Amino acid sequence: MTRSAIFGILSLLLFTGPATADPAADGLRAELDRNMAELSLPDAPSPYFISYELMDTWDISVIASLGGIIEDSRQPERQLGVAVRVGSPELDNGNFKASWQSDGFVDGKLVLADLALPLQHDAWLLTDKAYKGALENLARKEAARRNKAKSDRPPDFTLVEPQVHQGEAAPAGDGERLMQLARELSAVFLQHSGVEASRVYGVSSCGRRVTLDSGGTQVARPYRETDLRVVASARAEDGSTVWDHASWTVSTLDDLPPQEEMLAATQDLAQRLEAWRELPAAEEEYVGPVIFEDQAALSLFRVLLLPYLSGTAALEKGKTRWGSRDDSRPTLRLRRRVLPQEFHVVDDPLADPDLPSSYAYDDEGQPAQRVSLVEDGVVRGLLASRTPGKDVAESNGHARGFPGELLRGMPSWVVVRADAQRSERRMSKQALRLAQDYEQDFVLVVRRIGDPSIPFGARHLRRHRSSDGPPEMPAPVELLRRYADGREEPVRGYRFEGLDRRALRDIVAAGEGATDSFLMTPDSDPYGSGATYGLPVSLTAPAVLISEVVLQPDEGSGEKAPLVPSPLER
Amino acid sequence: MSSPFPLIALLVASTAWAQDEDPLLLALEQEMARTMGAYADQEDPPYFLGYRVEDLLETSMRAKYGALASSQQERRRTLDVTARVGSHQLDSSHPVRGEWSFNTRGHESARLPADGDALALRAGIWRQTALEIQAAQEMILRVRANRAVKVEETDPSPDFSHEEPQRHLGELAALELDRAAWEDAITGLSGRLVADPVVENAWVRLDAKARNQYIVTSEGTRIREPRVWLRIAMLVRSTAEDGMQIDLYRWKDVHDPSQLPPEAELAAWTDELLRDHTLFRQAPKGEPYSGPVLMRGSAAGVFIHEVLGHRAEGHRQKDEDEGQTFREQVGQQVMLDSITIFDDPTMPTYAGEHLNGHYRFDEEGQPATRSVIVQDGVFRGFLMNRSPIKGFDRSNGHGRAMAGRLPVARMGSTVVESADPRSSAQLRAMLLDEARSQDRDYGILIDEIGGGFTMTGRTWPNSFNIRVETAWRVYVDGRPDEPIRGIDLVGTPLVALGSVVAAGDDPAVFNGFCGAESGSIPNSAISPSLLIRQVEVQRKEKDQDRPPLLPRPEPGGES
Repeated sequence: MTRSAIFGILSLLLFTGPATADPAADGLRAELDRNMAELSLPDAPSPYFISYELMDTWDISVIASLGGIIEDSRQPERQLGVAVRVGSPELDNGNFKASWQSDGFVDGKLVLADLALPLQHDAWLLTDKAYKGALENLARKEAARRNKAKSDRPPDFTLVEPQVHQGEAAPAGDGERLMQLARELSAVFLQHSGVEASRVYGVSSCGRRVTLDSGGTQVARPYRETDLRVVASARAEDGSTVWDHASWTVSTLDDLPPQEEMLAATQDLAQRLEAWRELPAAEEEYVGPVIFEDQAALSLFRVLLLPYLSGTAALEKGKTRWGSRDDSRPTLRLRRRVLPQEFHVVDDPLADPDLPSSYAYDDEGQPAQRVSLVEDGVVRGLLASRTPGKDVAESNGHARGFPGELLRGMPSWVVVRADAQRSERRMSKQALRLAQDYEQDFVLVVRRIGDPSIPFGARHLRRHRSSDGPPEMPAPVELLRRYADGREEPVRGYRFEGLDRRALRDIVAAGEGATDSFLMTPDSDPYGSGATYGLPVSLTAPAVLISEVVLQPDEGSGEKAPLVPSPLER
Repeated sequence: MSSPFPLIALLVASTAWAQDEDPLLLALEQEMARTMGAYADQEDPPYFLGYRVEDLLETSMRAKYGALASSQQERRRTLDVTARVGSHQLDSSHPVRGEWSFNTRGHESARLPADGDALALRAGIWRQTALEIQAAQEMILRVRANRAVKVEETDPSPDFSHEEPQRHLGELAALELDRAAWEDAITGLSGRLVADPVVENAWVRLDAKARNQYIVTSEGTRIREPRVWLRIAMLVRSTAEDGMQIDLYRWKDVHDPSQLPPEAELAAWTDELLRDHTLFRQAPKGEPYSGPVLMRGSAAGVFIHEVLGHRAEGHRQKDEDEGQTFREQVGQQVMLDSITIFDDPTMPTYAGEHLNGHYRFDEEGQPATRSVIVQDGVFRGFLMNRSPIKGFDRSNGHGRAMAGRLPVARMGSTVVESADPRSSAQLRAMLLDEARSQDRDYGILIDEIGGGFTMTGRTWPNSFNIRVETAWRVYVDGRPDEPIRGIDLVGTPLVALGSVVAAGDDPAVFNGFCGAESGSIPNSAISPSLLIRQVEVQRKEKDQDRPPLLPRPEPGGES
């Protein structure tokens, strides 16, 4: 049977029928209710809360290189996440990890057909496993706290009013179209022998998610994310290497820009890399003001602000025989200054339904809400799930993640706004005045920063996955020296030194804003799940001038270029 | 269930492609020529360059509880480049003592486009070639320094053997399954497996691969060899009251879709699995034991694979971290003098059964040959790839690897034969005699095994473990045979081999996959039943979880 035939059958099963005829959701609801009513062990607490998260998608994944297809996968996926909580909302098994063992949050693959009994069969096994894991994890958590002098942890869970919503599933993408697109974009590099390596990665995952819980919530909503990423590298004569990219994160294939636009961006990427090889390499440290323009400004806020906006309490880690370890990402606290006074930040999942990050209900089935995060430079709100944090007691509809994990607050569309917006010319003048303090007659302008989701030093262009822990600021890939007379000198080979969140407070001016969307791995699942290994997030941010940034010449690997010239040099 | 079988066809191109019409072969040759030419006058040039490409079409489908769980198909091309710098005597592949000596050191494979412009193929080959040559040029400096500062090696054999170039262009294989029909078939079968309400988990899956392997070397070897493999398999699982997981697995491997079992036979498998599952679920747990064991054919084949086979892999004999059990035993009696053991990948079938271990050329492009390991109980030789050892300086076509790994000496189809075969009744009587003579109430009969593993190094005990699925106590006092569950066979190689006292007249085939440093590769083990005077039985590792707390969901919501 051909793929299209399989797809035809699956789409019939998944995406038709009135709201009331939902055999998959109905079957799972029956199994959830049965477990909630009957699941117990002697001398052990019964669950006080069970939730099921069904993810029904049609996934497409394509990798292309130089006009050829390296990977082409198209398949239906049906995954169920099960969360079982024992204890009470004040203290339960959630948000604690002492080992690799189950903590009450599990997931598994389900059968594809909408047949209640086979679906219930898997849900039965998963719920049983989650319950046993939950009981043991609660005991581990209580044991870990027994001898602690004090614990100022917030409650573990909040009970909410049930939500009921029956949304439509998003139609599946056209795998042939994505494959053809990837093929054509990758073929651009056939004409660019100065590019050493290139790949085009395309993923699209569309369908629906259904959240059911024992509190009566039953929310079905569309799931759609599509990411097309062109990644390429070049090597200069001195052996240093640069990676750059062009990428588009949208909801569905239909939301991608016109093909000509993507071809032009790919062409621009190839030319940029070839030109980069000829640029003079940085030789001396730079200390002084830096202007972050365009994509670089977005990357700055993406790396230094977005990962710290969650209001969910950090994962509590228990002792192991090797001691205890806390590598959770620190988050912002209310009433602390994070930006200069004229800056304000909001997150609103509902503001623009056309953005891929937009949603009406979060992944715990709670209604999305606009959250004012920063006012006058001071943190006034954080993104919350049903697991409270020290500063946020209740969900504000920002629980995002994949089935089988405790969901944490995560951004959707973050808008960074400054009261005053300077033109490029005025910001340059201000920067040059600051540069005089450093005895410089120029200012460094960063226009592009490497993609933080592509590992530093990647040699083989494998599909990227983000690593654990806070993301590091990648090196700039497009930067220039701007002089007072307007002259601009492109330069290559710098890396940032010690550029962290505190640098945001050193912003002294803001310029025009730009918006972009990208995939971000949830805190709950740092290695990324799902077809795309991330969830779409959008960001609007202005160009900024930071009063002092340190950049060092990047030695790189310095590996020689291949002795044999590329076969593309015909 | 409608029969899917008439709709399945193995498609083999009717005419072999000429070498110059195969774009992949052409691209490999072009890059090979360009590279060797460019390095000719450089310092430390590669003296050998090898390309291996696995062009694979893989189909996989799985059903459980009467519904389809997954169905996918993938095509991928994987390139492995071998660059050797130095000389045949001492090259960049030489182990650096005092460092991690795993063979896969530094090696990485690359994915190539499965279609498109030939330049795309060549660019992929070019890039990977440059990386591997650079790595080899770095390694040879470390190898030379290491050799200078360390003591003399026990086996000074060269690193790479001289071999004749091989040329063979097989027909291109492809696999076309009627996937819809097979999805229906395994869906129906999976429904039968949950007929017993105690079954917690059960699935049926069909996996199929059509592989064309290309090998091009700077010595002039040009190989294109097709291989088609299919497995139909089913599993039934439940948890006994004591927490032990009862897994019963049944499978069949074939090389042509038309050879898959017919519908009625597969339906009968489900009945047999459920019957055995009930029997062994209720069986008592086996206890630690040391005494006589009779292994039926397929179990005996795995026993020989683990105990002898891995220790007869040539490259291990010059690795200073290996146990090298048989290195000094060539020409010496190691087991019963009626037993002969050889490995012969050239056999496509044995007594009508398809063999997983069949191939014509190994992953180093060398022709497979029948290689005797034990002749009349005397250890005669090793399975060799192109890594010579003292007394064995040539390959016998056993250099094997999965895509992404470098080849080492591995088994293909290992065959045990006896010049003194005994009937089943005779072996049973001998088992009981042995049990009596050892003052045991019973001997153990092993029927089915799930697999095994062995440790051949020096760091850990040089031992083996055979995972038993179904076994019986055979009582000396004439009580009916009693099924037991939850045992593994363990032991050490020389003692175990020396304890084989008789072989049957019932050779059976075990088709499986074997994992080692060069990856998971298909193997076969063929053996008659073997009676072993003394083997140790230990309790199998078991889960500690209770069975599911609620009954299985049933139709209409009644459990």
